[in-house]
Amino acid sequence: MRYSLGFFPYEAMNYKAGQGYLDRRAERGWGLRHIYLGCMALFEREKAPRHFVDLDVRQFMDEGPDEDYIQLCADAGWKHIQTLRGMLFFRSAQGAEPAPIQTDAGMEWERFWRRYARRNLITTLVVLLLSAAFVAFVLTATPGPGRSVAAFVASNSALVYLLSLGMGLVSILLSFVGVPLYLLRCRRSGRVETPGQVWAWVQDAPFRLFKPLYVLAALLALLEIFRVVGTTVDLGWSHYNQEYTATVEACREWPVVMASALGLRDSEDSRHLEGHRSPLGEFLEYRELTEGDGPEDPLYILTTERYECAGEWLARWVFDLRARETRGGVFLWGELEWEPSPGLGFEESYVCWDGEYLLLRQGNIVALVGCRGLDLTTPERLDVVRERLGI
Amino acid sequence: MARKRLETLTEQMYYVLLALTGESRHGYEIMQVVSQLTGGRVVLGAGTLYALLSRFEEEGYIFLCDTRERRKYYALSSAGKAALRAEYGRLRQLVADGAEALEQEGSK
Repeated sequence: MRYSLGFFPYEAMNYKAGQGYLDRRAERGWGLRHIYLGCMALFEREKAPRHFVDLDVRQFMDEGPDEDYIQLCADAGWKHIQTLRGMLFFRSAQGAEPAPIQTDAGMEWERFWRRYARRNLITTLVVLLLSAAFVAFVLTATPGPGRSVAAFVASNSALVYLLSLGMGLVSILLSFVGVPLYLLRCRRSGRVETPGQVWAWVQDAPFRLFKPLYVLAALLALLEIFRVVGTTVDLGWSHYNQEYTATVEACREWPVVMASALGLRDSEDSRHLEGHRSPLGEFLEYRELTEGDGPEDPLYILTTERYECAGEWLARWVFDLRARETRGGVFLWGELEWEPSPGLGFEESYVCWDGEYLLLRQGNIVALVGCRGLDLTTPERLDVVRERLGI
Repeated sequence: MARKRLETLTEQMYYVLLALTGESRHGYEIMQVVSQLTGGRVVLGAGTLYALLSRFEEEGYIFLCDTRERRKYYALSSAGKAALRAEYGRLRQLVADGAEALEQEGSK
């Protein structure tokens, strides 16, 4: 085999860990050829290769390579491979045994501290404060319609985004602890120490995986917007759709509670059905507006939210979360003051507004069903709900 | 006035200035001369030398006198010569003090 691939996640703060990684590859006869996509290192077979990872300490990082420095290193037998994330990568010329690029440990540490680490420490602190502010903002955000988190279980993009966000926060927290400790260790010894390989990897790898995850999340979000994947049915309010009858037929195929099933007049012009699917579950949301037969009859607003979760544990979590959310007003038609109602024949059940809204869980299925102006807790209507929802 | 940072010279600093006495040289030449002067005892890395040259230029000890074939040639300024002489004097004094103390101890 002539070529080999490796994962190179190291940031400039841990450039000595990067050096250690390349040294280990060199011991097995692999010379670095190039690092692609910021982290995929391509190696090629070479007899006794040597590498040197140096810090790029120019004041303005977008100036391009420092040609004088590169030329001096080339004269000394070091071939510049590339510059990446504030690091310069060198490989010894074939057969050459040049002196290390840095031969004064004290000067190297001084340079690292003055021109890189100090600034990085401040950046880490600022990023940590911003992250804390962001988390605080998310946690204290006022609930409102359309901010339901429960539906995220069925959104691929939301899951990927949350995963990448979580990894990013873990990375930042690790940096906040690890960077000062590492710098303290360097300061005590007066040289740029090699950080623990595992520690450096855990600290830096999430950042490398972070970007592709964000790109993936953005792509999934786009696909969901254009309804290529994840979305199961329909279109929006059928009122605007000339072919609404087709929509009615489509809706009947899905486990949602429709006006006609409850004995109400079938809505002819106002219904909405949409859904998402992810590895964690399927989410369906259905709304229908219909009027009674007589002129004095009220306007009925039907709602179905149905979550079919990958496991019962997740369904329990969604049930509790949705109860909390709707109590806080994360619902289109107002705040729902739930009361437990264990006699309805479901594993978990809440009722509010004299039976107009039900929150139910049976096994791995959670459903929020409601119809303004109609008590859904009568045995006949509960049978319809049970049958339509398939629980 | 620029702050004086180089009160005393390290071994590598001393030899870099020493390599520039007499004629101007580019970086790699300096590395080779230092190696010759010290019989390979003092090894000067390209990165270390580059940092030293920047510092010396900042302090006015050396100046850029030519650029040929993408290589920069440096020469010793009068301030650099003075610093080198001062360091040489300091080292001579160190050796003389050491010799005197050790000879006295040897004669006891």
